Amino acid sequence: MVVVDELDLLFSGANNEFITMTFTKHNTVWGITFAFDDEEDEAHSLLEGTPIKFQLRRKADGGPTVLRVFFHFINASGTGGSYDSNMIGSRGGSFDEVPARRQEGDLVPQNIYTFQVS
Amino acid sequence: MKSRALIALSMVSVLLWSCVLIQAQTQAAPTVEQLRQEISRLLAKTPDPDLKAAHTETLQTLRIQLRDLLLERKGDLQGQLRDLQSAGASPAYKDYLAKLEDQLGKVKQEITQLDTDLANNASAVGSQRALVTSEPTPVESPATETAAADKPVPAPKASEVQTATDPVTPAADPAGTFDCNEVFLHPFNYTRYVEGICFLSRQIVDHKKRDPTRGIILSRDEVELVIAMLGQLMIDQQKASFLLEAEEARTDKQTGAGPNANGTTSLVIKGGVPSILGMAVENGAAVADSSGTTITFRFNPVGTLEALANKGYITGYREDQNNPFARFFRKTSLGVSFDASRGSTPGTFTGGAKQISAFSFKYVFINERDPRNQKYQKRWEDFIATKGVDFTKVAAKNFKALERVRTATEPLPQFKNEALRTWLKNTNELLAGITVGPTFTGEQQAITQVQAVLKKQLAVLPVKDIESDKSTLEALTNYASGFKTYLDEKKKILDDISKGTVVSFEYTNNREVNIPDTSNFRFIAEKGPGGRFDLTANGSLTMFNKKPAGMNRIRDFQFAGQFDVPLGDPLGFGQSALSFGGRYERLMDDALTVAGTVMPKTKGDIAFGQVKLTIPIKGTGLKLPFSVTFANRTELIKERDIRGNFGFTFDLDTIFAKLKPF
Repeated sequence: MVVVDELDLLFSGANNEFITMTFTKHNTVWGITFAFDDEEDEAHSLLEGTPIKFQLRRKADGGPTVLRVFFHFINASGTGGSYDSNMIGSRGGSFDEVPARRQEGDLVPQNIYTFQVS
Repeated sequence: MKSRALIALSMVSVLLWSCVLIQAQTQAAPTVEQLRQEISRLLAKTPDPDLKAAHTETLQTLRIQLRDLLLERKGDLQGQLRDLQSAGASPAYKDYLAKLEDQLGKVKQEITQLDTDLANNASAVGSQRALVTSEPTPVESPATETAAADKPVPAPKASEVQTATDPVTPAADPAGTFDCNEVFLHPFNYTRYVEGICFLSRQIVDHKKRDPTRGIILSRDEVELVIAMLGQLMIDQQKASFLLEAEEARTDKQTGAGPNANGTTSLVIKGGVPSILGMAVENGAAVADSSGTTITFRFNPVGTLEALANKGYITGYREDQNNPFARFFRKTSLGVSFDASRGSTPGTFTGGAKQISAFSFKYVFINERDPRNQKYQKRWEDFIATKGVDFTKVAAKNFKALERVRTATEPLPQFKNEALRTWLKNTNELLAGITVGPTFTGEQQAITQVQAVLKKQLAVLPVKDIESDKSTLEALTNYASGFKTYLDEKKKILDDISKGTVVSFEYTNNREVNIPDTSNFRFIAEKGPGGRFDLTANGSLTMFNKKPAGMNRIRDFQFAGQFDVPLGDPLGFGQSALSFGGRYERLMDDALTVAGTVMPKTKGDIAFGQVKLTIPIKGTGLKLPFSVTFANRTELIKERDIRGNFGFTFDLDTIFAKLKPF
């Protein structure tokens, strides 16, 4: 896995490469949910301490794999919460962000991770 | 005699003030019809030349109010139309939908007319607006570069819009100005529209710290941008009941001195502690016999050390999550009270050791009002696994619908709607010119500049293009609806949590001048009986540190209760609270005077009642408590007694977080 553009959250990876993403919470009740654009009407919640692990598959049209991660924040003040993230590719490469998201009141911010598969 | 008159006057003032607040809350808002008539009447009369400016200004105000109401009606009609859509509808049903559409068209037309009238007369009142806005001049939009279709010029100013994503309009700020640093600190005090703009501004500044040329990045900022756009578009009119209690509305923090101190306005002690330093100056006396001025400083040891170490409010809070020692002391507070009537210069606060009248220590050992409490973990897990996932499905589906299909050559998210894409490109071009200074102040300035660009650009959002693009409109509306459902479900849990119990213990060492010092041990319990009300109970025992000759070691025991009623923010100062308190005290022996003499026949029961109004000054950490206390007698005199008190309390948490939030 290679970081193509860290601000755009654009990555490239090899066909069949596994990507493992872990998150760490600070000053909030745990709440991470995610959905892949390729999965119609499906979403998942992530248990604290477990990673999102998925395999990159090359598509016939060459389009990317898109993962939407939603960060839920729950505390009394609406401020001060955050999540850190760590991403590792099974064929090497990693990407850390501290924090990946900061709390924004009771908004549920989203990071869209885009993976180009070679 | 004079003092009795003053007391009576204070009482009347406080009661009148309470009535004004309650009245202000219950006053009926003008209706659409009323505003239309008032505008027509004003237009029909040529104003007196001296009153021309006032005439124009009043007309503008009425037009703004009318437009706000019509925008609400428009949203309501749009919502009805959306909900009532049916593929195989009967002719009668279709007729009704057509009438709804017709009605919607008329409302839109009236709004457009009002926008035109407002724009035509804006210059007449512009100078006055300028007086209340503190924002720098926003960067000019490249009007020439924007397609004509992208410019619904009469679109309402972002600052004047009240929307579904807009739970409460910041009343203190009618011109729509807001300080994003205050929003970051107390987001629940502000509308989601404001949250969207401020958090988007912060995101952009964060991006700029990594790449100065960047602006809005959809991969990271789509939620904030959509929230801000929804606020502007007024698509959905679901009224926001999802405000949480604000820091300034918290009724569980005790900053002032306890009831025995001179000059205190408190009859009952509250359970919460300030995070850093609270200061209270209160004049009068709630239950003591000698009135005076007591100044109380209440410290949170961890917070104060962090403040001295120049560590940010939030950083500090975050770091001690993994430190049991810090976690313990985060729940404590230490208090020092000074009696300004003591010392070499009575009446002047010197802060000298001779003026110290009490030390106190408080520890909050049960706090069920923290949503992070272990007790609620399962409930939150269930919430995320069900409502969180449901919301994610809706959000992911609709964000995807807002975006173009990704390809190998264009893998990054882009809006599908062309006008919106152009608008975003223009906005990012304007944002590209903003630089972020290396200091905290530089960052704040950049946030203000970004915020100004966003507000300016939101005012030229291609509303018509969006409204005519069914797929985009539907995606935005569905997202808003899903978010509302999610927040409503979250609020149900938070409401239950707000009724949780807080239990604290407080020890106070009262330092006396001519009589033995005393130790007071107090248990404090708080519980929310429902709604946003708060019930507090105290039980305490006071002992002489050294047993006086011929007297009991135990001086007194007391029980007290208080009921707090949040009044909302009718005057735009912040969340006020009205409190009703009562206290019973049993004096085990005849009381000692300050001079150390025994007052005969003073042993026995004392009952107090109190009405207290606390008014915060928004964003300053200052609170002004006014109270009236009634008693069957005082400790030294067996006569009925009525006292009025006022003062101010100061919670440094607010100021510190504002100066250095991170």
